[in-house]
Amino acid sequence: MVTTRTKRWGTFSLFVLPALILYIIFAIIPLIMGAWLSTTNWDGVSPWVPVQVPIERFENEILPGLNPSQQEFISRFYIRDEGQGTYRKQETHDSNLRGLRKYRAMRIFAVGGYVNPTFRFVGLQNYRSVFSAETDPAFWPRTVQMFRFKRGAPLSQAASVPSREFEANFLPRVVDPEDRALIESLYRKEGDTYVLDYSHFPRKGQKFAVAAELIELPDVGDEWEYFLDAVEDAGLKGDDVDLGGIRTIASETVTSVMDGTITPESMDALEQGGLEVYEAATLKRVLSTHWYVNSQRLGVLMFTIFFSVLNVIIVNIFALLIAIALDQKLKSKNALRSVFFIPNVLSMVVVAFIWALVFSHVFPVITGVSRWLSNPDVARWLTVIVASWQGLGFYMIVYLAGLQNVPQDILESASIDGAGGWKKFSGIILPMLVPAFTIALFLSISGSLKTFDIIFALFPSTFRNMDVENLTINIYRNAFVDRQAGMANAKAIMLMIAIGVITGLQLRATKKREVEL
Amino acid sequence: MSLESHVAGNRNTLKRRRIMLLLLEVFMVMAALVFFYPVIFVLINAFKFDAEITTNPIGFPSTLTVDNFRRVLAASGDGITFFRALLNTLIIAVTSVAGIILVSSTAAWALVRHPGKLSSFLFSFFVLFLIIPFQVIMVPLVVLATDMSSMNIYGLILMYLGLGAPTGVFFYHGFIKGVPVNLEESAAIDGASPVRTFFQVVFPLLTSITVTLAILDIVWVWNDFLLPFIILKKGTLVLFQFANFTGTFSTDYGGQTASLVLTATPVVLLFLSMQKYYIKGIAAGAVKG
Repeated sequence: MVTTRTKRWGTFSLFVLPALILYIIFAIIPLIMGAWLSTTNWDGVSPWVPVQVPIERFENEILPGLNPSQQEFISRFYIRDEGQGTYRKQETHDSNLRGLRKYRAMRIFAVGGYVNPTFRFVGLQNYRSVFSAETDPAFWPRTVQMFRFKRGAPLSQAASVPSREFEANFLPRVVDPEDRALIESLYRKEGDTYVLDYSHFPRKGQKFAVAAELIELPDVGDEWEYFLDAVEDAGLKGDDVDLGGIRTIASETVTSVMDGTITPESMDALEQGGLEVYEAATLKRVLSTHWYVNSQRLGVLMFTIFFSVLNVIIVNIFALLIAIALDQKLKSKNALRSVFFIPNVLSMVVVAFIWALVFSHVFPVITGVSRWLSNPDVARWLTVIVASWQGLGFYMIVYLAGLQNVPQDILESASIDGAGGWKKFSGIILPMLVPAFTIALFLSISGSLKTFDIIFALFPSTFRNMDVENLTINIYRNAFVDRQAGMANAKAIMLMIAIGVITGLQLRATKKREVEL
Repeated sequence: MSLESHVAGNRNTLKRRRIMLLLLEVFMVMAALVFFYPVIFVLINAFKFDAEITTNPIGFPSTLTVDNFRRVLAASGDGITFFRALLNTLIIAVTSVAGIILVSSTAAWALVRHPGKLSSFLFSFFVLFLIIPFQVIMVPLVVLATDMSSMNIYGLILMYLGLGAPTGVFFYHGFIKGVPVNLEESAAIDGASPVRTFFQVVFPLLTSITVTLAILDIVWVWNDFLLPFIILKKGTLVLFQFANFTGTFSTDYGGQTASLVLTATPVVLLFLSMQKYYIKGIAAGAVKG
């Protein structure tokens, strides 16, 4: 009897343990470790064991608290370095503090009372700082200024500005009287646009005819460029430079080239040219700091909610409508089901690249608008379009499976009783579909909140600027880019709890409405 | 209502119904074409010469060419050719899915056939996995893989085993509950060991759920992006090869479309040939979930 019992348990373990052990190692231990890391200040790269410890601390505080085997273990890896005044971690290829040894060394340091500054317990600090705006302003909704003229861009980009734009987003913001006078002297209103007259501005490399006398001198080319650069810098910085200042720069330039033997006319021409360069630079400065529109940004948290809510609604409505249509006796229904489902077997990365090409090549041709993926006001809608397109087929199958459960005889007797299409739908089909709603909502809510690949591949490095950074991308960014692994894990744990609470509420709400036949 | 008018009315409604159905069919086919347009767009453009994609993005190619495909297959990212990356992806998908099927079918069988508190606890323990978002275990997996010196394909396969096992157990558990136990009992009476009983008697009975699970998991592993992205060298897998055409040579649209087609074709073919099982799997998972 004992042997059969043992045998029974032997078989049970043999069959269950492989799956259980793999699951524990690659899911449960990481889960526990994730919770643990969320309470540390780890940055994601620094070693968990200290790199060096002051000699005094090591010898007087850490070592005495350890038992002999611990002392032996730790002394193998920490070498006394008199020059630095520290014990330094020393690893060789064969003997290093990786794997389990790392954890043993951490334990030993904990026993010895040493706290590693790059990996220490910080309690719930990460959780608290998620909710403080100082940690990352992009986490919260905010207003940003979208500048219309980039510093250093050619003036041709501001050569003609629609008057509505000019009067609403630029002119009122120029309050400095000198700047304002300059703008008003350079821009002329012609019909519906303000036109910039900048033909007289000298450009770099272009020499003045009047200063020919100067230019003819040997090696003057560089000095000429320095002069123009110095004037332009003054203008861009908004330094207090006027005609007098330019005269100083000009005469400095000239004297460094020759001994001041230049005609007064040429000197005047040089000043005039310098003044025009200065005006051009000032214009660029004013344009690049005052011409902007205020744009509302959702931030990580609100975008996650925006994306999830819209995606859940759109995916479920369209999936249900298509499922109902394909549940009719259509000749092409099997082919149509495949067509609607295929996006779902494509990798999200593939889907994102397909749509990136469509947005960049097809949308401009159809709509005449060229900026789609690079427009932060539109980008968030595009993520919803692409994600819904990809997910729709899956939920269509879920609803089709639900529709199979609607008893045909009840529908027929309802028709005989004179029930119309809508009545049949709302009175019979919809209640029978509640189990399908339960599961479709559950999967789409948790799936939307966990979306990563599509947005990440659609906006490879621009997700933050395009305001489409959702929580999972934010976590990825914290973990591998910002070097805030502890913070990333705190956010991930909170995401898990949020998904659990939201789907839990949803399951309770929809389960209550399920009818038993 | 007289009998005649009732019959005539029925005939009328039947006729109306047929017209409605026809209209619905036409509408759905058109909707499907619009819906599927992005895929058609990529397919058409993959066979155009690169320059034509910019000048004529929407129309059909003026001359058909496989130039793009040739360029993609010859390209290499991070020292790994596209073909090699395709092979790597295939190896990872097949090995991990075979492993998942092995460990999860045996575990589920043992759990079903040894009912008791421990078994039901272990089953719930496996199901717990469904609520863990990947982001929670993302950083620890990297730590773990570094600790185990397995930031490579083999480490990745082991991870897929661990992450795929719970769903596998869940699927098999539901299926095995419906498999009659008498065949196993007679095999045991004939003196077959449990291991032999499982592989010779039980496993063949599980074929339909095994095929379903295999397809679901192959598609999952083939399409998975983030886990290999943080574990493997860039370029190892076929999904990373897009970087060749979107990064430095960002205007090689021909290369992009062709690599999209090459990457997606295997899964799409697998899906189309095994559609029945795949859809059954989703429906079954959805009903039980």
